[in-house]
Amino acid sequence: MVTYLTRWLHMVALACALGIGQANGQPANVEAVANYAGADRQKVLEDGARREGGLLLYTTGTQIKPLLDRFEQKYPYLKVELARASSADTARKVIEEYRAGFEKVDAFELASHGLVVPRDENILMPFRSPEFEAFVPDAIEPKQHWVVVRESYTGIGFNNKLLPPDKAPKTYQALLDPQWKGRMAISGLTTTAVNWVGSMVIAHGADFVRRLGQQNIRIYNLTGRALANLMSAGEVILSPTIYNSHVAASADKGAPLGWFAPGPVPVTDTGVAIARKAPHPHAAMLFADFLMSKEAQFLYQELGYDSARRDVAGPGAQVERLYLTNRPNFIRDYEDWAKLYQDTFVRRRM
Amino acid sequence: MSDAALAIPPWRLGIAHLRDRLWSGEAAILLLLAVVLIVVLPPFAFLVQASLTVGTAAQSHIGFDNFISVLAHNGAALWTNTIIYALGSSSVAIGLGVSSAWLVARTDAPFRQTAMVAAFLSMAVPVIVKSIGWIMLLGPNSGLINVMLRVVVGGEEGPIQLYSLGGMIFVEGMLWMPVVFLLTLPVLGAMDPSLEEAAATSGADLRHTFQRVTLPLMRPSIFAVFLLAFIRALESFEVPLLIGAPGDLQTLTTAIYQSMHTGFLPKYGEASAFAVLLLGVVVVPLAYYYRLTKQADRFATITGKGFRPRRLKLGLWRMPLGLWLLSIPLSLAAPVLIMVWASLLPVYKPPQFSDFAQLSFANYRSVWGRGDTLAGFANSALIGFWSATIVVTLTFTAAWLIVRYRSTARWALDVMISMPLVFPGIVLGITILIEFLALPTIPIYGTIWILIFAFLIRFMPYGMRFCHAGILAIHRELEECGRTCGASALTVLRRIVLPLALPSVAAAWLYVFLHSVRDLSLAVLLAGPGSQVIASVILDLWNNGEVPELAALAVVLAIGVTALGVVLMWLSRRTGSVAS
Repeated sequence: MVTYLTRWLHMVALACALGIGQANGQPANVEAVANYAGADRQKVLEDGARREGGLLLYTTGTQIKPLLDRFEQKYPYLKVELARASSADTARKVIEEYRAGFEKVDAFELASHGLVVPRDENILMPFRSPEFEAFVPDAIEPKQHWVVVRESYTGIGFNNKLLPPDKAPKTYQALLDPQWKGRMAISGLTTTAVNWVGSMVIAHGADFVRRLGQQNIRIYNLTGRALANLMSAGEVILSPTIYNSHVAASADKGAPLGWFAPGPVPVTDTGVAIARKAPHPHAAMLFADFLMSKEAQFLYQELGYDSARRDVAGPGAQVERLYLTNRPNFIRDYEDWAKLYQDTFVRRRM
Repeated sequence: MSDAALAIPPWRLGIAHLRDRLWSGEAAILLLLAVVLIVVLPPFAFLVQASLTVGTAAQSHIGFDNFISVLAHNGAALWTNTIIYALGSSSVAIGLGVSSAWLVARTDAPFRQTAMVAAFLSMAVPVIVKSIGWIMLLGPNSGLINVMLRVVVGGEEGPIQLYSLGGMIFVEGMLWMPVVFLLTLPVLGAMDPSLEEAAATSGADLRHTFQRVTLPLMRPSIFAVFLLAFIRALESFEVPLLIGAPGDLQTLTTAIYQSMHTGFLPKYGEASAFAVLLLGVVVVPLAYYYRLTKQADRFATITGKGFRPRRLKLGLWRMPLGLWLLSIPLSLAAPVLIMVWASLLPVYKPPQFSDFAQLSFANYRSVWGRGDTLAGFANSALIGFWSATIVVTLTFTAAWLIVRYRSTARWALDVMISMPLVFPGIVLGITILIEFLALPTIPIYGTIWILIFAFLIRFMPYGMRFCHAGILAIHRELEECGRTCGASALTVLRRIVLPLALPSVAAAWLYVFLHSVRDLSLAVLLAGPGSQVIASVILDLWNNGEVPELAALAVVLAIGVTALGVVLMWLSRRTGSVAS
């Protein structure tokens, strides 16, 4: 009886293992596919992708819908499925999924902040693509875990009806002028605020940030774009955490907004990455290739984002950019900046 | 049991008899308690574990550091702010909600329908949209009301300070007012008017009748909703973050929110410790509530006597009280209306007559044009329907058992059902995520069912308070009458209790439906590729800062929900009055 039961259990275990193996596709292949450099690369990818039929993408928003449409038009045999959440939620989710052996995701289009921890948890597969050559080196993660496919920058935004451009502050130092005391506002959403503080620490040191803390800056816990909206409504006059892309989009529709880069600005970057155990590696690689292509980068530009591709120079090309997530000790730096931000701006009256 | 009974073989006892024995109280309560424990304990265990875990994943140890740091959050100011804010906003909600529910249910004041429609409308609009609406109205620089007031009083800023403790209390109070209104309306609507008439006959005026008769009868309902509003305000961080932070005001929750975000990955230790501490705030008042409602019959307002709810004639007070009633829907609708204006314009600006030429439905077209909006609506409606139905079925049964049977386990059952009130959304989300990833035998991960399960836990406490207040109002004599006529416990529950409690049950259903449709934190974390919900669209628009489009979506959502709400309330009152 016991032998029979043991044999039966073995059979069940074997069946489960086979089942899981099949569900995962051929994980051993992901590395080979992501780094294949043969002359027939495109054909190999397309043939493989045709067998796979689609891919699952973890991303934040639907801004990239026009790009997905174009991708599906280009490869009609591929269907892109989306699961959307903030970059922090996505990171947390994929970590738990991989721990539990639930490996369904193929690719990511996610803020680099959300890619850092999955990379450290060994969930991202480094990849190579002929498109790399066109990108500025900073836009490629040092170990090639992701490539920045869209970016925007936080700088000084102002309501140009209430504050003429020639009177607006144009550098970080100019923000210390007593005339701005109590008149500035920032977006208090963590990454925006902390990256802003980090850029000032890099450019002018922590003491500069502490001096700026004396300016009684009002904190709105709203996204940068919502803050830009309050600015166009006249509620906020001046803010150093406004995205250039939002100003450009709203100004086109007649909003009274202006923008300056006050020095080196933090890049809010979104990267494309491939999952280490992607069940559809060929499709994932084709997707990454597409997002990096010149065609897709122009599409991103139409949506208001800047490009890190040298041959798609946008208005942001002149700005001095800081790719913060590439810093060797980024997580430690980030936590120091977060503390400085809270001590200086949030808790100053507690 | 006599020897003769023992001699009868068990199968002869019959299923009906067994069922009746099961429904006889104790057994049913214990069974339900077991079900609730299975559902609630995993997130609770995770919460306690998170609250006791100190340090990062790599180098963590067990300790009380999180509790100490919550209690040590510096300064009395933080605690004082928090308590004033929670007490103030729940009092505002109760004051406005109960008084307007009474006017709507019991008097001939004008604008009664307007008040009801506004309550539904207001509940459907996401907090973010309403908060921005208030900033557009009361912002110190360009807030519409402040700009108009400055014409009269002069000055450069203000005069109304939205970014203050008063502003926070007002905004949070207005958020909860519709809940109070909907929770007390059914109880008041079904109230036997003979008590009020007796008071009037004895010479009591309107004020005395309200103070000495109506209010004491409603004490359990008011206390229940006060408890909900107070605890929610204690742990709410949206209004403190959106309205308090620009004015440099901190509450305990904002301090915890900040400490959660000092690390690169959010740290949930302090938030969990705070939640565990809040459990005390739930359990102690619940014990008091049980003492208060021990003699359930004292609060029964639906009795066997035939009655026709008659409206109190307000006489000279009719117009002034009508205007008071009208002011509430107006203030509920004001932030929504200004956002409707924003939704018709290409860019955000304060209202001006010259903008009329620019008005268009472009934002509405763009929201509808999104491929995911319709699919999101469909999924959300399905999730809302099932969440509401399951929550209401469970809590209605539980509330009835708790009110009718003296079992010692009933308090435990209510505590268990109420416990999720303090679970922070994100902690609950992560627990459920881990739970079902670890349980591949229950393959609901990534489907809409995992969301329904999550909403069951999240909204059980609310369903419980709605149903409990509704059932408490029904006198036991009605059920006894049914039993005497030979109906089984189930029949009594279905044919007598449910129809009489229907207005409360419908309000509970609607509350859960609405909140599960617009819940952001759980929905976005747990939704899989095939189960994208409308919350993802809301969050998407919000993250992209497309507030006018978000307002457009909120308006569409609000109109749908209001229509649903009005129909449901009408149906439930009709059925209710037929049954009585």
